[in-house]
Amino acid sequence: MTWQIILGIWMSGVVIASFIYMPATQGLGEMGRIIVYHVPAAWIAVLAYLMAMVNSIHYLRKREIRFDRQAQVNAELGTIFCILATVTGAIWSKGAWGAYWNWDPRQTSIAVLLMIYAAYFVLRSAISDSDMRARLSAVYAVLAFLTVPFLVFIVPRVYYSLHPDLELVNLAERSFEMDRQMLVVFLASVFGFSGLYLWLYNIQKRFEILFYKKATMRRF
Amino acid sequence: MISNFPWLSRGLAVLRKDLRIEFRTRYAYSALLMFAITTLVTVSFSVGGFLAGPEMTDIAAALLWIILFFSAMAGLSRTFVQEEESGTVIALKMAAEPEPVYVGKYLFNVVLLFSLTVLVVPLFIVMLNLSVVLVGGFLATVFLGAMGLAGASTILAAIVAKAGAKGSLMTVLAFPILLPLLLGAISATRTALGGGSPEAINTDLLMLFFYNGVALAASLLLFEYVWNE
Amino acid sequence: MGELGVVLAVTLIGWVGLFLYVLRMDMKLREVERREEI
Repeated sequence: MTWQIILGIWMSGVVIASFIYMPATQGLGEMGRIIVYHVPAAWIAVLAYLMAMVNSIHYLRKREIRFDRQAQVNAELGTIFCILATVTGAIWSKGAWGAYWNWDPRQTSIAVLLMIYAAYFVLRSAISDSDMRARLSAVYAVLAFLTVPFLVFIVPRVYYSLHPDLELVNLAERSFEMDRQMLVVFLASVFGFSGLYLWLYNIQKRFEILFYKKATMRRF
Repeated sequence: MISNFPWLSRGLAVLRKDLRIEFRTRYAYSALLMFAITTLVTVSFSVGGFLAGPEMTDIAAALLWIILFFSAMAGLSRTFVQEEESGTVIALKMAAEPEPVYVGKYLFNVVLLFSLTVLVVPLFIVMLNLSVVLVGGFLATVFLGAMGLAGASTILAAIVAKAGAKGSLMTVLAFPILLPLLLGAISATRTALGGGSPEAINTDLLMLFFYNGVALAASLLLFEYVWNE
Repeated sequence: MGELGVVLAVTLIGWVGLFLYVLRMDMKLREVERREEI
């Protein structure tokens, strides 16, 4: 119980600090504070997807259904963080470049990740047999992951050729240095988000175990 | 020499079988053609004479790959479904390992899509009054792009066939996976039509080449998990 | 500072609300787990 309380207080502290302790950013002013939420959410979204992919590979090799359940849980959590990351990213984009959406490399990547999550769930909902569902969604998860690295190479050039004037703003953002206070709050936020992810994962896992236990016990 | 690679020789047998069936019924090819022609005519009618210059090449590049992508979705999604429907799945499983089956289906889809491309691309250029500046680059882009479309579509068609092949499942699954290919192909086509630097197109072509490689390798590895229970 | 204060308040309430919600779930799970042990 203690570490949950600590997490609660920690993140509350992060929220307060991101508005009061941390000064407004240089380029973006008050809008820039959102980076404390946006980047950690995106990292966790990617981490959750990686975990789902690892679970998928384990399932394909060992065929134990618990790996499929873990993959699904990770996918669900990842989607939540991904939505959070996309929304905060759009807000950031509005502040930095004047438009909520503009196919900037990172925006495209997070959108594609969201699409992959969505496709994963659509596929799962289309199959009723649990073994087949586990198998096919595992294959899809691995397949989808392999295409992501390619985006890193394409999108920068597609974007820059379309919006050369925004290139300057992008460069300015890249040399965006964090002064010490922002860095502290930022790192604390990463820590907090990770803790939140682990807690939610833990809860989901316990829920699945109980649910599974109840289902098997009903047979007697 | 081909007999040294059993996957390839048996794959070619699967290819021959599918081509023979397709030649008789032409289901897949007509689906491809119908969609492509309809879209092409609509696009040319509405946009054909009105835009010119750099805007046109940008839009045209995107439109070409939109047409090809959705044609592939319409025509290639049933690659494995006819096997399930006609009950030949068991025969196929007994006759060969999963890999040659995949190779055969992959080559079949490549042949189908190339036949479509050979028809659609010239029509596209003519109907939209485009001029191709980097001809070699353009041809390479279309070649690699179509091959990539076919490659990714094949394994996805296998998944979709097992999942019940409901409506737009293929498109939903295919889009995130094919997006890098589409973006790369569109970027390269834009360069080829508009006459940008050859270096820009070469990096895109290299990416398309690797995409094909990764897609084929991954599909070969993963196919058995889709094919076998 | 006023508008910023509003955003801060909303974010804080949002976080605390989410936290308490998940905490309730955690505690309910614990209760059921304890009963299973017995």
